[in-house]
Amino acid sequence: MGDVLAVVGPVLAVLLAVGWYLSYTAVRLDRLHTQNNATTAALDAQVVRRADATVDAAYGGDLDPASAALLLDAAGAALALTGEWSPQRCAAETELTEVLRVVVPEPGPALRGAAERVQLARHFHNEVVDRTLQVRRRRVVRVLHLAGRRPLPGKVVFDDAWPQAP
Amino acid sequence: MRVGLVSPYSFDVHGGVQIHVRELAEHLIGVGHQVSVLAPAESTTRLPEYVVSAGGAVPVRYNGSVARLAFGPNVAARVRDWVEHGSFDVVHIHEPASPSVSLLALWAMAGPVVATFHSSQIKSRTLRLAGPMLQPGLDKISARIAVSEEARRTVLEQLGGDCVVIPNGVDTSRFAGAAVMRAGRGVRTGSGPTMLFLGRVEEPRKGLSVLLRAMPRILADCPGARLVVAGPGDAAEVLEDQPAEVRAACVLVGAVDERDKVGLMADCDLYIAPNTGGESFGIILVEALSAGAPVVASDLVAFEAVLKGEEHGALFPVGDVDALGARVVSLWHDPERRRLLQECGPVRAADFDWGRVVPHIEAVYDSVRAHGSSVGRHVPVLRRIPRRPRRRRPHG
Repeated sequence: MGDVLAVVGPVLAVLLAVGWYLSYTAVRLDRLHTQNNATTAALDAQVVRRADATVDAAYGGDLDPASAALLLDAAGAALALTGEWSPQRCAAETELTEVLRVVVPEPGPALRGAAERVQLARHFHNEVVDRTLQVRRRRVVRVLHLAGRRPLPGKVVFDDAWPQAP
Repeated sequence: MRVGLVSPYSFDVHGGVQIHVRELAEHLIGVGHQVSVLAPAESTTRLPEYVVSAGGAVPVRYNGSVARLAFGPNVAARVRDWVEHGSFDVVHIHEPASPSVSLLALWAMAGPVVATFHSSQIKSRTLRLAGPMLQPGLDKISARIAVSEEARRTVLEQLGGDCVVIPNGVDTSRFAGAAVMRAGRGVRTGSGPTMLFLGRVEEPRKGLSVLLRAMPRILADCPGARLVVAGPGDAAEVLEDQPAEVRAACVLVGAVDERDKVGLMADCDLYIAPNTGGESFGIILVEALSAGAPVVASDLVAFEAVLKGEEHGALFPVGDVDALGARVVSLWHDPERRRLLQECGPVRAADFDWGRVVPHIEAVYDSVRAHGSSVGRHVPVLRRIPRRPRRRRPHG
């Protein structure tokens, strides 16, 4: 009887530990994906805000009509794309940044603040994506499908280094 | 915006993090936000009306010193209550890895969380052992702020992942008066500098002993040099085994309040910061700069950052007695350089003023918020699974 316990005891302990580790990792992944959704939504809100601020600046009256038209075109293109961060959407944001860089050398506080918030939001989002990917790449997560059917998150990459590099 | 701030350390005692949280709260309120601060505090401690007590704190050994932390089921319940009834747009947690109210708040909530790391001393051993307790909280943080490059590096090494660096805010307006007092007086011409040391005298990390050992050399060159020692602790005891001439040159003023501090800084020729470590951000240097006191400091990363190398003061290698003495003597014999430092100090200090810092923090708050997002209670995964309606068998 004692012999049986001596064998079963440790095996049971190991099984429990493994079970706990797996459920802990699955719950952690769930948390990280929730976090991913939250930072994506925050980034969405900030890019819309920047485009809106650009439109306001274009109609602000300080710019010549040609510059304003360029701004409106770029902001419109950025606002037209929503949802997933496709290469087209990233390109539209990069273009908006490039046009701002050329047309608005000295932004007002509203536009400057909105641009700074886009930089921060993208930085924080990519941080969370990094952390999620670190866990998703673990072998045990891939083999046992601990992430379920959730898609692999991707970093959002576009040029937002205006008016200053972050 | 409704902002919830969380301090892990008790408001019964003074400390860098508590002062930061309190001042941040006041400045956020000043620009029109609604702020509630959650912190441990005894029921007898008088608190500002925006502070909610999470319960009494217990002195516990943590991270190499005794900290007053709050934990336990009662505290956890109060934290949950605060999260649930605060209806915050964003919660800003300070020192999220500390086993106190901060950690409890992270566990209790879901939604936009910003966290500030103050310390540059996170222990990897603690992290390895307490990982499963800390990780769930750390994973919920949307934005991480470090108060200095050093704190940022520590987070990167110990927790992984990057932070945005936003320095601590300082109320430089309090010290502007000192600069005015000084401007009227001009550079004093005596036979030696009046030096100021501020800090807990027995605490080795504050480096008073380094400065005392440099004194004979300074006195040999400038016999009129005096050292004003201000700060809590028994300074007489520390001075006991010093040579007679060093003792004679020291003036002990004991613990000082904020007003006295400003006066002392205005009254000195050189502010000396001989700290040997444990400073992740040099608030005291910013205060000295805004008071227009020329600074001689050890070359800790935090101090180097505030002084921008040697642009705004003089640096010496940590613990190097001879170098400290040499820096003091050479600066004393260079009144032109001292005048320049006095003039530029307040300008540099303004970079750390709350007026500059608060907009950055507001930007971080905004950048983690989506349309209509807000902070709520955390719901465990198992309770989130929608219950499937029981399938009814079709009646035969």
